[in-house]
Amino acid sequence: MAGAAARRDSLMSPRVAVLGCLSLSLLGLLALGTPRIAHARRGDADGIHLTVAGPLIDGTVPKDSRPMPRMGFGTCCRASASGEPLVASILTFLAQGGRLIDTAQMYENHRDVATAIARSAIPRSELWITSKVRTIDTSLNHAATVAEVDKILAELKLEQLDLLLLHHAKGNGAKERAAQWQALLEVAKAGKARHVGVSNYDLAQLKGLQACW
Amino acid sequence: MLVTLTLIRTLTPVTMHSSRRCSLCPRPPRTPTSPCTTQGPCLSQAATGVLPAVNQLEFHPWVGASTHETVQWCTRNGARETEPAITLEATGPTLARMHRCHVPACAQRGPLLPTAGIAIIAYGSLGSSSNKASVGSGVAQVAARHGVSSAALLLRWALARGAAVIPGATSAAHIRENLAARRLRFELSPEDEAIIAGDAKPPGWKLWPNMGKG
Repeated sequence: MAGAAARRDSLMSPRVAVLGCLSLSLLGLLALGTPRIAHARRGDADGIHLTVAGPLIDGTVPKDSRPMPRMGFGTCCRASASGEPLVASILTFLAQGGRLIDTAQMYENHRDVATAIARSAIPRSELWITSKVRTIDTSLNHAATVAEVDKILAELKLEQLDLLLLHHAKGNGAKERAAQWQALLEVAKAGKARHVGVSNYDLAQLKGLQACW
Repeated sequence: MLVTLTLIRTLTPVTMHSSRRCSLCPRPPRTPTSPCTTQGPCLSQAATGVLPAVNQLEFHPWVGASTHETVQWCTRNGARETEPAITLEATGPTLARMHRCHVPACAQRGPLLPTAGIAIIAYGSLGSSSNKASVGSGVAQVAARHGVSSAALLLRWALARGAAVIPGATSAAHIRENLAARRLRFELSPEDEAIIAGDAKPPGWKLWPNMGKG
């Protein structure tokens, strides 16, 4: 304990040490890199700050930690969710100030989403693109999951997704789900997705992912 | 100088400089030698210990109790069972120093890494495209009380629970109306909540068969 304090003291600037002033000492401590911790800003109107998987794995931290918009545009399951009607409706959504577009391999409209993104001319850094790996009844293993992510990025003409999800737990065993989840963490570490998560997971399936096996 | 040192000793939290414990580190596992947790089968996979950042679910007033339970766990208890809900704002080196004490803890089958909880993205907020108009009468009643459409009320219902929403729409009018729900700030009173909770699922409101084991 004394050693720790001495190490800290030796790092302080001479001016602070000489003055020994309470306020300057506290400032010095802050300057030494005490982690700044903000309580989760889940209630913010401007978005939700998501957990970032990358730094949890290897200690790196992304420069960009934009919050996820609370209002997105779903592109599933309607007649207008592909082709020109989809491009037009996404452009309307973006023109009205929306920024999050939610798509998936299963919706088979990645290329239309890419067209809308290109036509909108909105900087990539302002958009939030979510997609999902088709995992229902596909029994993807680790390598196959990573390969599907590369297909998604190519179809969307993106270098990086803002959020990448496993689409379903259903139809997969615990071992397959764990392999797919580890693949997503690897994808995040490689910079292909800023955040990773799941969809349609129940409580037991979620807890299963978290377990240290 | 002495004053400074004393103050530093008093005020500096115990960090990884002097111990592997700090306010952000997981507590040491109670049974560090246990090869498997009780949370799942023992697989020959390396531990991740990392929870998903998001669970995207069908979430509206007519989902089953297990979905409500999952949402509550993700947004509240999910965070509490691991660490206090925090967002880390630290420089790379600071975060790396901190994680030196997290990663080995997990490798020892210890508790979990810090997380801000699992964010919920709600889908199906307005029902499927074929039944958007047929909301429950209770929802319509509460919507009228607040002077908003039933669709806006349903989006507000999910947003008030901390979820993000992703309604799809085709017409510019619907797209605009959905986006406007971002700015609605009215609170649902306990009475409003009770009316919505007691509202029977509207006829024709289709639930998605996406959950379960399959």
